[in-house]
Amino acid sequence: MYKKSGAGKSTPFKKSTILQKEFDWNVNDEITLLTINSIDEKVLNEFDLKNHTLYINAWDSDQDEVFKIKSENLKFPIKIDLSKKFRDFTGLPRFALKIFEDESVRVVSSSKSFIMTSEPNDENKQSLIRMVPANIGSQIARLANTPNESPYLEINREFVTQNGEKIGLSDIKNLIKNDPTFCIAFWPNIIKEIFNLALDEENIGEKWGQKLLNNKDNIAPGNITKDKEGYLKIMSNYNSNEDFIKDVLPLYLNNFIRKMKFDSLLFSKLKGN
Amino acid sequence: MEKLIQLRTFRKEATDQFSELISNVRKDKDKSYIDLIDPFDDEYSEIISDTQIDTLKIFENRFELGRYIYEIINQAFPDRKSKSPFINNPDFWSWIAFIYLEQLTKNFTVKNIMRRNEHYIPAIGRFRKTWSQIPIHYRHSIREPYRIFSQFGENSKIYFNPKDVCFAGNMIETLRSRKATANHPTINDYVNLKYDRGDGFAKSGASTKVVPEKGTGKSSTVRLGKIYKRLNKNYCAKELSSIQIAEKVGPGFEI
Repeated sequence: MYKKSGAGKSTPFKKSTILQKEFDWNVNDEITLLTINSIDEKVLNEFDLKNHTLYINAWDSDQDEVFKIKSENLKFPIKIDLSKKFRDFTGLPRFALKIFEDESVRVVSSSKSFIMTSEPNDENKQSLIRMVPANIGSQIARLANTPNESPYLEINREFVTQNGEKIGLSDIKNLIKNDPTFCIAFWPNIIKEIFNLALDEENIGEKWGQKLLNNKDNIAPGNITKDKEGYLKIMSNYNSNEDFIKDVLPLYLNNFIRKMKFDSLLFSKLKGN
Repeated sequence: MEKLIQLRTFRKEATDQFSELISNVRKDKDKSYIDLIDPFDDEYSEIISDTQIDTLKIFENRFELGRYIYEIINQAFPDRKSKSPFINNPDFWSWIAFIYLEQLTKNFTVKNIMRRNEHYIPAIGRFRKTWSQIPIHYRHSIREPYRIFSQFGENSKIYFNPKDVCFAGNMIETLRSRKATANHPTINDYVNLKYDRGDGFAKSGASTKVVPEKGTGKSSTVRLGKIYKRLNKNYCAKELSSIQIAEKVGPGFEI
């Protein structure tokens, strides 16, 4: 019998945290270019960059890549060409800003991980369902679900018709967010799938599962309660998740469509007002 | 004996049909479904290069297969730009798998006559999530040997089962399936130092099942993949040399 967990002895060392407010970043719509606009001097001065290396650790569910930023290139904005190592993303693309000590290769400072989408960095302003460009053939968008992650939408990076005409990413995004004909047909099924995933016993306690339930309660109040530990759950008068969805989904969809004004936009589109 | 033909790719519909046929072959245990596709007929495929591929070539193992396909592809598409339309094209890789199907299935005698679809049609592009929510593209019988050979050349032998082209090699399943250890030059250096049996292929048991109670698998790559993932949290693991990996991964993995 040997130790299952691996390394024989641990040698703990200090790792500092790079706070979200200590650097500013954005990524383009296609998720091919990550730009670090600034990093607080406090972060950069904590370690001697002659023997430490600043780097971006970027990953999805298929790849884990390192983009080193040489100290002589430390001029803002720093542009990281993600397309050099990622052809396409599988799962949600994430990154963290980190520093390692050159000699030992130990990570001595790290930020938390961020999902790379072109939405604002502020979590409160982000959509619950993130959009990730992907090659998905002739579909406009589809719900993707990778184990242990929040569900997200894969949206067509470049829609190509049989005749070779192309519809670009910004048009696809606009279609998914704003086109009332598309949205009224598309979102109800997606929302139903999301409900099913969020209520799954493996997901309901996760941060994203709770966020989705909270969102449900804001749009269609009622039918949700809190357990002793403060976690949101469906009320006990429902025998199953299916019963809950059957009962609550129509109300949620009505309110969602009205909130997003898809009903009046559709009317205007069809009647030309 | 050889039969040289110009390099082709399946038409999209043919790949879709191939996928259905694999499911039918497995379900009915009847290999005759495969005869419904003629991979050399213009209805099912189209020529993409004048470079010729030998459809009757016999391979000893997947390392040889990967090396041959690498040579053919480099001849047909010498630069990155010309390769680009095919490297991530499931129709292209499915066509190659189809022409070597008898060898890859040992004349339809491997598990359930044929293995699952992703072994012949790569789980990339429109097939990315067809058979699994997690990435399984590394299971493809042709594309993965090509990818490994193109990354590590002669040092890629270690990943392959030397016995027969119908077997992939457990090291692919244990290391190439994990994002932390796939596409990793120093992990490749490390596994070559640690597991080479003398001719570049891995020693027997290198990727054996881990059963601590029986004392088996202490040095297995199954365990290496899992431990390395944790190491990656505290170190910029891609920057570790093979010697540093050996030192830090812990008991059982010393060189």
